[in-house]
Amino acid sequence: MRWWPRSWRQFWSTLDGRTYHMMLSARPWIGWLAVGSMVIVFALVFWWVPLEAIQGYPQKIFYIHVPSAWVMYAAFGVVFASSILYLWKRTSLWDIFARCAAEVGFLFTTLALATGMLWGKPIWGTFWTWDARLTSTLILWFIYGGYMLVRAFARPDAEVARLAAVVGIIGFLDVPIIHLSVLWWRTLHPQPVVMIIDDPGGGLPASMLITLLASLVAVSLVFAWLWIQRVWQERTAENLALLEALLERRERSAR
Amino acid sequence: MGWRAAGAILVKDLRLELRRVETVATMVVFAVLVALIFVFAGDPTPADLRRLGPGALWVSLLFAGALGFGRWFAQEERNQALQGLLVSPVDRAALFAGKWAGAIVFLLALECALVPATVTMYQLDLRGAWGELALLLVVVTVGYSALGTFFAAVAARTTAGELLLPILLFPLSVPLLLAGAEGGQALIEGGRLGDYWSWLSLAAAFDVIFGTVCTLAFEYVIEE
Repeated sequence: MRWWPRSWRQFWSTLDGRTYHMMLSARPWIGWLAVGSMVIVFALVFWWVPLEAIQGYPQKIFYIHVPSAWVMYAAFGVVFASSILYLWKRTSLWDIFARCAAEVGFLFTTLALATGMLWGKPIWGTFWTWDARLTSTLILWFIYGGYMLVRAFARPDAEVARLAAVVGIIGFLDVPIIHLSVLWWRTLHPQPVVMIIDDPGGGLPASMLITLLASLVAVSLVFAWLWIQRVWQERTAENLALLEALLERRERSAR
Repeated sequence: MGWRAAGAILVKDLRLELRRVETVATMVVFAVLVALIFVFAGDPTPADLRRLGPGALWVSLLFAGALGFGRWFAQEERNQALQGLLVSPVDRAALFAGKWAGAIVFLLALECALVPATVTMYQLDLRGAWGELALLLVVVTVGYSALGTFFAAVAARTTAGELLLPILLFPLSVPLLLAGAEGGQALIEGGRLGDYWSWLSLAAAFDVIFGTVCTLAFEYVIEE
């Protein structure tokens, strides 16, 4: 059987069901891979990678902090893309994608903020400073908090998915502008150490770079797994509600 | 786009507001009060006041605006006026443009009272840069009104209503607040016109992007 679509129209109409079923079959694999890679990352962080000369142990937070921040942007990218696709296709799967990515993204934003604060106390001597990245991450946290509040408080007659999609799109578009404006305002955050264009690998020694990349993969897998898990829950709840409605109708017509 | 329809909605809003002035008048008093309370947040010397001034101006503008946007949209919900607008053969974008233009006019009217009050209270010396400040005010107001009108419509669709509006609006307006406060600071300190123009162009870019996006996305908010 051919698995590729004949046309774009067919591609879109089958993407819904096919994406979801692919996700479901990949779910246990992603789960075990996430657990396994996290174990490896912890082993690398605590036994293998050398202790940083100046910062000492607090530097190890870096291996969780940076991947959390990366996953946070990826998650909100998923919210943005799914929101656009929802407004275009109007099928509930895209809405569920956006909703679940926002929740998990919010969790990782909280993690990035919390680990950053834990690192800041011993290294900068304070939990919080109004540095550009800290500030824009905090604002991001509020934007997606607001997104979830819109979902929670939407009036019963309003179509929640549509409202939330619009908020998700505008929130994501604002992120780069907020980042730029706060960057102009002030900056103190350690400069990016990985993505230096003319010197790939940047100032990081190889062992630290390997650990960071492994952790990036592991944390991304954890994100993917949590997200799929939530999507599955929401989809199941939706199907259940549908079944209940059907049963109720049958009972009523039987009487 | 229906310019005439947008104009008609603007004229209707202006006429309504001129009849009772309640929203703009209340907002002016509220905004000046916020600027006043800011002074009590410490024991400022004249130098502190000059440093705080621009920030206080924009914060009170932001607060008063959030109060007003909710009101201006809520009046469309009364007696199902919004349904009336929706069934009329008017483009959704034109509907948004009309409400947006109204919000701009009201906020500018508010600023005409708020700016002199803040400049006096905070003993600010603009070094004759009134034209530059006015331009900055207009550019920031245009963007803030676009977001405010848009999210007032979103918040009106939730049970939390006007409570939710500032929560959605303030984080997204941070670039505008920074542009206003930092641009204003540059004018007061003098000799930093380069910084002023950078902040002004940031705010202008914000206006173009979110003016367009909000106008296009508005139909999804009020779609029935």
